[in-house]
Amino acid sequence: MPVQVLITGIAARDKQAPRSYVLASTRRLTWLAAAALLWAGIIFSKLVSLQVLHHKEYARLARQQQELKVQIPAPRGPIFDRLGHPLAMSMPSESVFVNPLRLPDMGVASEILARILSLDAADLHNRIRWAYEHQRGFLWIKRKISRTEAEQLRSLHLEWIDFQTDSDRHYPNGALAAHVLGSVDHDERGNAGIEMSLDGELRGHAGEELMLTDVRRRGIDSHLATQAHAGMPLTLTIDSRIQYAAERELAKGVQAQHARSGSLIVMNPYNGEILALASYPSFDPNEPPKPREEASRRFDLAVSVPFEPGSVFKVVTLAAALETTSLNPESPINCNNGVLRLPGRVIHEAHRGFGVMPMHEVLERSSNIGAIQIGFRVGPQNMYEYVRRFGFGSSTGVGLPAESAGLFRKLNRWGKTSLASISMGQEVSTTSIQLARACAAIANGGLLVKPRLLLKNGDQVVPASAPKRILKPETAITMRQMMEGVVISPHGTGHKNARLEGYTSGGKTGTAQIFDIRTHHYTHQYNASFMGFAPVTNPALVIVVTINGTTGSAGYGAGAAAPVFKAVATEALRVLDVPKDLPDAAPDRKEPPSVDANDLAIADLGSSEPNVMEELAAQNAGPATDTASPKVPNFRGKTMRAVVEESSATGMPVLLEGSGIARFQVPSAGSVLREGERIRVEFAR
Amino acid sequence: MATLATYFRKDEAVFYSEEAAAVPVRRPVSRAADPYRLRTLPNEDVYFFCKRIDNSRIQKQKDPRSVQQCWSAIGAFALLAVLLAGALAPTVWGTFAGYQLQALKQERQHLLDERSALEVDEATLVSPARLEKLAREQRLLQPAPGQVFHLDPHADGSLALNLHK
Repeated sequence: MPVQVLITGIAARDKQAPRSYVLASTRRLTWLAAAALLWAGIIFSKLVSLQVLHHKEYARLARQQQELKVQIPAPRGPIFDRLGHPLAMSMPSESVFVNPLRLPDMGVASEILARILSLDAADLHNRIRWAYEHQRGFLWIKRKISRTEAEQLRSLHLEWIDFQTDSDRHYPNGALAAHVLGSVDHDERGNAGIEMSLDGELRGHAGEELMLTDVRRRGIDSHLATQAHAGMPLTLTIDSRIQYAAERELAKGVQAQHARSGSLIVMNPYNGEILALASYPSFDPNEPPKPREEASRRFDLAVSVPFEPGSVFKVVTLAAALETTSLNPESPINCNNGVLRLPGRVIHEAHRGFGVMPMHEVLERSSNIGAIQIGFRVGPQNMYEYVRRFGFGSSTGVGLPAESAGLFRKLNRWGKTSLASISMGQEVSTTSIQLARACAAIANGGLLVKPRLLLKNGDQVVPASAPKRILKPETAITMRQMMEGVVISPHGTGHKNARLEGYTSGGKTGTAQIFDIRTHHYTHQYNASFMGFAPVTNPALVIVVTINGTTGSAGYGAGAAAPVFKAVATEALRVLDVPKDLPDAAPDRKEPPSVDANDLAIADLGSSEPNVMEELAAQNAGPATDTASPKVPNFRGKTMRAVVEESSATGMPVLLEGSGIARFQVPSAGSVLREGERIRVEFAR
Repeated sequence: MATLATYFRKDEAVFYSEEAAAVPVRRPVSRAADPYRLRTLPNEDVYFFCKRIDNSRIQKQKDPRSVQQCWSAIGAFALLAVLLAGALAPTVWGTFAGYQLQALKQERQHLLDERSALEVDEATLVSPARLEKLAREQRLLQPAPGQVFHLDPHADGSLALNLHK
């Protein structure tokens, strides 16, 4: 089939074109080529500029656009108890912030955020407006929000809501071991307890990775810029079961006595491991400190707050006597029938006088004069030496912040009656942990151990410090037997409340009047304490209980602190699975009528020496003054009627004793009367 | 095929197609002499004509070499395509793997966060205070001293009846 083909042809004009036309075409072509060359040259030069001259800058800008810096979280190290139960742990949380300058509508934004985050919308609106007016490009809306809140906010897909990943510290057991653990601030820096003292180990160091992203900011590739280092997990010596029992029983004991506060330590006497350390009142470290919260709730009373120990200190006096004198438990001690005259002062027995009795009974009955007589036999030099040996006056190094060293004056600053005072636990201030260490030295055979709270740092077991021998083993054994007598002897002060069922135990009660720094006088409130151990033959634990602010005869160490010791020791021994060394039902000994639980170390001795607590307070915080409280008037020389009238007029309560003319008053004239305190006025003819 | 020339010279194209052989080529009229006419348009001197070609008698000669060349070309292009795909595949695969990797990393972090939250929940649930409260509600008693026996497991993991072993 023939095909019709359209054939094009060009007239042979070119052949006939004039020379000028050819020249014009050539010129045009030349210009075109030149333009193309120029264009290519410009492009090439631009390429050289982009790829060679400004390569680094553009590469940086490209990276900025394509790469995203992503923080690699490094959570704070968890804290476990000795059984591996978590006491503190960190969990990632998110915080919400906005750029107030980019908000489409402040009112709507406030409403949305306030509704989901349970905030006050008006307050939030004001905050956003303030930030906007002050040209702030960043505003925290709420930090550490819950997972539900974060999910709700994310589901809104609002581009002006930004999130930052944070870490939130959780204490799953609430207030358990709060004083040991401490707490952290908003930035997870420790501000108390172990959290503070071992902050360096616990705190992690966040890493950073650079993520290559696509246009939708989805990650494609990433490489590590900085390695993240998670915080070191710490294992404490605390046993959460014993800790819980300790806190529970301490709270019961303080509440039963209507006392102010209390502390309790349970320690392994052989290696110094602290199994429980409790203070009452306590706090929940999950909650930040409230503005009007009582600051003392966060004080670690067992470690940071020293007190005059009272009769529990007699243990040190007797141990020194066994080592430095010829006295033995059966040596007769003359207790002067309850009255001892010293240069410038007369000392009375706390309750009733004793005659001559063996040394072990001095401890069992907690005779002040007996302890003083023994202290005289020891002498000031030896007494000073042994008190120091037991570690009083220096901090234990337990590893908690703000540990107090207590106060024990140097020998050259002792007064005429200092030896007498120290022998019965006055003129020296100690912390509960110092007492626990001293008691452990007796319980373990004479070795002074260093109390410790840290069992493992990561996977590394922290070795215990080498103990230091301070007593001969035979002395320690003798002391253990004498302290057992306090509990098992019918006239022992701890006989009624410190005996354990199924286990032998030893200990010492103590009651010390609380010195009021503001009024410069001893009050009628006591520090009731008990330090003891169980079982006697091979002690598994040492327990020191102190209850502060007890009153009346029920508030002595035997009545207030010993029952707490008994309850905690019973549970701790069961938990630790310590073999019993007594039949389950302890023989019910008859209470002889002579049992006297009064072990009060009489503090109001009229000593001219400055009080040790006053001196300690002056060292720590300077002299305390209270100008708001009323001053005590001088009642001396006045009749009872005049005293009553004056006290009624001033509103100061008085306690009148005797008849005749006012001869003596406590507090003395001119001192500040504390709230709730009464003026005791003695009248005589 | 419509070209610029055919557009302006339709009549001539038709004319030439029908009477190409018969009618002599008409030369374009010189317009230089007419000052009122517009200037020459481009390609004005290009013209088209149709030529009838009868190729019905033509038979295609067998050319095994061209077939071979054709297949060679196809093979070469295929090879090039494979090589190109091979060269680009790792990059593409890497990109997709990167997406997947990042997604998995996010999922891993999410799971770790979830595990942390569950650990906190677990620790809260087994806190001594809560356990004691539950025990009180169920009127459970503290075990007496010596009442609790801790059994040491056998080598096979069993615990039963090994109290005195």
